[in-house]
Amino acid sequence: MESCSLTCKVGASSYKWSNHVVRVMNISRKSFIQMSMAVAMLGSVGVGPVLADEEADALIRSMEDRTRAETNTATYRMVVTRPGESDREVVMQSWDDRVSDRSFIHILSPRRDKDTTFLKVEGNLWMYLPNLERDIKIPPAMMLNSWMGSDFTNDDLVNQSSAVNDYENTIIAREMGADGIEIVTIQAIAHLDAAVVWGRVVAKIRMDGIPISQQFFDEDDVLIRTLIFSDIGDLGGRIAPSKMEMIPETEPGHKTVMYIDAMTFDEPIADEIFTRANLSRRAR
Amino acid sequence: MVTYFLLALRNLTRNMRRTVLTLIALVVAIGSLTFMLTLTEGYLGSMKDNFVLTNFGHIQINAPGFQEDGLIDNYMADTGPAVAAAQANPNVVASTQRVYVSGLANVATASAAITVIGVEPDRERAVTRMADFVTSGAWLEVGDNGGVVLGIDVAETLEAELGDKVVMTTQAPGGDFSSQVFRVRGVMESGTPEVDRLMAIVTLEAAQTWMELGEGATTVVLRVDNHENTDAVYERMLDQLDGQQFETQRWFDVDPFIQQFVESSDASIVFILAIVVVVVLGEIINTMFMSLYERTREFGLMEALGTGRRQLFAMLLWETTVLVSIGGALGYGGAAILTGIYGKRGIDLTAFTESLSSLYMDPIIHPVMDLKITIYILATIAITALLAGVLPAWRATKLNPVEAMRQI
Amino acid sequence: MSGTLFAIAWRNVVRNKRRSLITILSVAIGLLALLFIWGFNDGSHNNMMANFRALMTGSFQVHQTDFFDHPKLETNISDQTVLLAAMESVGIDAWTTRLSSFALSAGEETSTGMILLGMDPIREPLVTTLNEKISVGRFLEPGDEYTAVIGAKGAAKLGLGLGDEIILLTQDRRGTLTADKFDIVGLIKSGDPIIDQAMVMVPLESAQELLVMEGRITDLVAQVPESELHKIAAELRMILEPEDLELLEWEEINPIIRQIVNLDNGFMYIFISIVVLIVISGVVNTVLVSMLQRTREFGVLMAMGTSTGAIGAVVLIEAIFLGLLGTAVGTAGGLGLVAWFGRTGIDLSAMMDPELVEIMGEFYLDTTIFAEIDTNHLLITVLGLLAATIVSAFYPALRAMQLEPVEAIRHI
Repeated sequence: MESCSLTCKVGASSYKWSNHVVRVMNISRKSFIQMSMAVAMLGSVGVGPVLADEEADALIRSMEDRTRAETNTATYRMVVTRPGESDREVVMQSWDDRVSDRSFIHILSPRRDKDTTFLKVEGNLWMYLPNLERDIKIPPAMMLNSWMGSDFTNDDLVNQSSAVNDYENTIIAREMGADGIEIVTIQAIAHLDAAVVWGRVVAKIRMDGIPISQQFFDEDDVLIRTLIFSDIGDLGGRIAPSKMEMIPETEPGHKTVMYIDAMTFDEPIADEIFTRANLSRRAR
Repeated sequence: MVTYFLLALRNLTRNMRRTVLTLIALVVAIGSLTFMLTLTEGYLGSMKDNFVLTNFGHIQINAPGFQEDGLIDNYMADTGPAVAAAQANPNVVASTQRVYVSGLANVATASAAITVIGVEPDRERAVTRMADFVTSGAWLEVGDNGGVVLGIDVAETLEAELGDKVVMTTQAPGGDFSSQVFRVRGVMESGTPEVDRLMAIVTLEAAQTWMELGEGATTVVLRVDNHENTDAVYERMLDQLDGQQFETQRWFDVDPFIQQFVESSDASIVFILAIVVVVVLGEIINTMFMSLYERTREFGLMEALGTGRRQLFAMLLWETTVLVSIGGALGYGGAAILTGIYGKRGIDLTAFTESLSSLYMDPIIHPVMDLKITIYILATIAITALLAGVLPAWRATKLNPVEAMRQI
Repeated sequence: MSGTLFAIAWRNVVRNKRRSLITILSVAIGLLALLFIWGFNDGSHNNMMANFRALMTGSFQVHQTDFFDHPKLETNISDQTVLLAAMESVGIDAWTTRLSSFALSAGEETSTGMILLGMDPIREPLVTTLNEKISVGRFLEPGDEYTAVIGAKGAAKLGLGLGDEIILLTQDRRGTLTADKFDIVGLIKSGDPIIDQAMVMVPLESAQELLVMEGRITDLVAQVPESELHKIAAELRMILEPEDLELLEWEEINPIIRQIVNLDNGFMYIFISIVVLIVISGVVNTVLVSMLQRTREFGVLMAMGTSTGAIGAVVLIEAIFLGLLGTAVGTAGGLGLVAWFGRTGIDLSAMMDPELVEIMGEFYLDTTIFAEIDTNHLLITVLGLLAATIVSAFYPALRAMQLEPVEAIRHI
């Protein structure tokens, strides 16, 4: 906990970056950067809020069952849209072991990021860059809000909070969907002591548990972002949406679309996948 | 001796006008010099106070190596011995425990790197002024384990207002990420970047639970009754505490800047003193020479009547000494009175100092009298008296009595 | 008539060399002392401010609007044509471009947050003195790829030295975490703690590549003579603001330095007032004495018909002459001292211990101060003292006017 000499504040006022710098960031043992992992936990983005209403509860659980498993492996394709630039596409493979809270991601494309890998294990986050030929551990303060420059946040991905515990859910509307399946609108209000940044989430879920959309509001009830599920079809033996579109309402022209190109559920994953040795192995 | 003194007085009062004018010069010079010194002493002292009382305390006790690396893994599981030693020491006014850990604060739309500090809300008040920096909302109440007070720049980056929730993520010892939600109870603005830009203050209990530290903490902070006693307390702590478990440091061990600034200010004061002495000397010597020429005839007469040169010299030297002493004493006295008056009230220099608070300077300065100052001033008066008196006195003795008497 | 008064006054001044000399010296010494202190004061301030500008910040900087308050890579200058054309049109040659961001620097065992600066190896030395502060190794050179110059203390903290590799982890323009290795080619020791502990400098092109900022910059830094800064800044702002570019002068970037200078100067003015008071009392004393000694003379003059006004005027004019002479001598002496120390410099390092020397370095002060005096400080002081002298003459002049001719003549 180094006290920055006074005069470094004289200089520091020249630089707003020094917010980060004044606090020396030291990490024990090897210096590595842990990065929030859980692309695999993307599944959990679709997690619905807690239900005060039993029917709402049940529906949320059924949605979770659809999209979660003890383990899953998947191939994702993420397209990030930004105004004034061409779309950026990132293709990645992920392995997720929910039971032991471990996950691994291997970036396949674009060429610039190819063979970058991430490992989350034992509460630590590691990142490997092929050009570096070593891995780095990522500390919390480096977990800046956007994951890989997309509109999904680290908070989305790291947050293990179960919908059931953190929110109070009630069904507020019902409507008939185009294909004859009823769509339920659930309002989920975050518990005051829940470690989630949202104030309220409004989710539309089909009666068969397939999510349609989620709207995220902050505590002042401003709509911050909308998540839309589509392309419902066969996914690894289950019926589930394979396209997720995240639209930040506060940044016009920004959008991220996540396509699940392939997914398998509950297949055992070898332990050696979740090791630091694997970080560099994948790169070869 | 007494004769010379009385003689000096009489000669001085004989030419009241000149004496008064010279006295005015002396009083102004010595008085303002003294006052400047007390002002400087005041503001330097307050700089030290500000630094120590804003945040750091006089002395900190950490686990060995913590001061260097700031890693939460390096915490003190049992702070008992340190706290006990602190409380047993009569010079320690108050002590408190803290947990420091770095992390990230998140709200729906923004995030900010922070230093989380778990404090004991009531005990902290007795040690530092942090509670006084809260500009909106309130300081934490004991037991409010869900509350957080943010530094003003952190609050602005997060656009967080009172009552908003903030999710903070840190790494507990062992490396696990852990998030907790807190509500903003207050916002603090100290004027110093290390507080305003980084701090998120929660209760000690909250931090201990969150980081799974049990009863442990990373830091014990001590406030000593007087800056002068800091070293003594430090030594006692070193004696009483096991160096393997506890590392004790004084504030200037960790950040020597203020201490050195104070010392360099002392040096430049001597410089200023010297200049003022030169100016005053200039005036007094001139005045004394004027007086010399006016009294040439008188001196000639005295010498003719048998006054020895040495006696003449002594007489003139006494005159100057008495004059300078009276002027100096009046000047010093006046400044001391002013110091007394403004010492409590303080002089508001807000117009000039703008925002030097980041350098721990207060816009309101309270002058303080110190033994050191008194000695400096006495020395200055003595030197001035001597230097001012010698040259004219010596010149006077060079007079030829006969010629002198012929002067009109 | 007035011509005669002047003549009389002048003659009186010359006639009483001793008294005149004493009065002149009274003023001169005071003025000399003040000018000397100003010389030291202004010299060290100008030194401080110049060093500050020259080291890193420059006279002014240009960024995309809002970059200074909210630095992020998205707020960058993608097309520099207008900016560079503006530089040319105003005739500025000493400018360079940079890319500034934040990175986590990793060594063997530890990592620490640092400011990352991509710099142009050719232009940077035209603008700043960073390349002169290299303690070990060299500064960035054209043709360098993925090299780094880092503060010596920062390197020590990371356990790295010349020739070692340093890993910089940062976020590129799109928000993706990215990192790369850089070869340390130089260590820097500037005295500024941020530069020495928390900054890493790499070639601009390498930074642009790493951050996906090809062709883009975040800062333009330029040096111009301080006296022309405001004018140039105003001109440039007119061209740049419509292009969504902000121009910040160095004082806006770091206001504390100027505030310290102002505070010091404030104290100086108080000091001047004190010295003025001392001088006034001295001058009143001597002029009064000189006047009283000529009581008889004045008495005779008045008896012969000279008006009291004339008498008073003579005393006043005498004082003014003395004041002018004293001021002249004091100014000449003071300026002489300033000029001499301006060339030779006052070396403080002898009386300082090394820690203090370091502190001075942190405040951008050299240990040898070259005396200088700002023109307005000079004018205020000289005129102030001159005015003080004149004011001091009023009392004696009035006293002279109150003389009763008959009594005056009788005076010895």
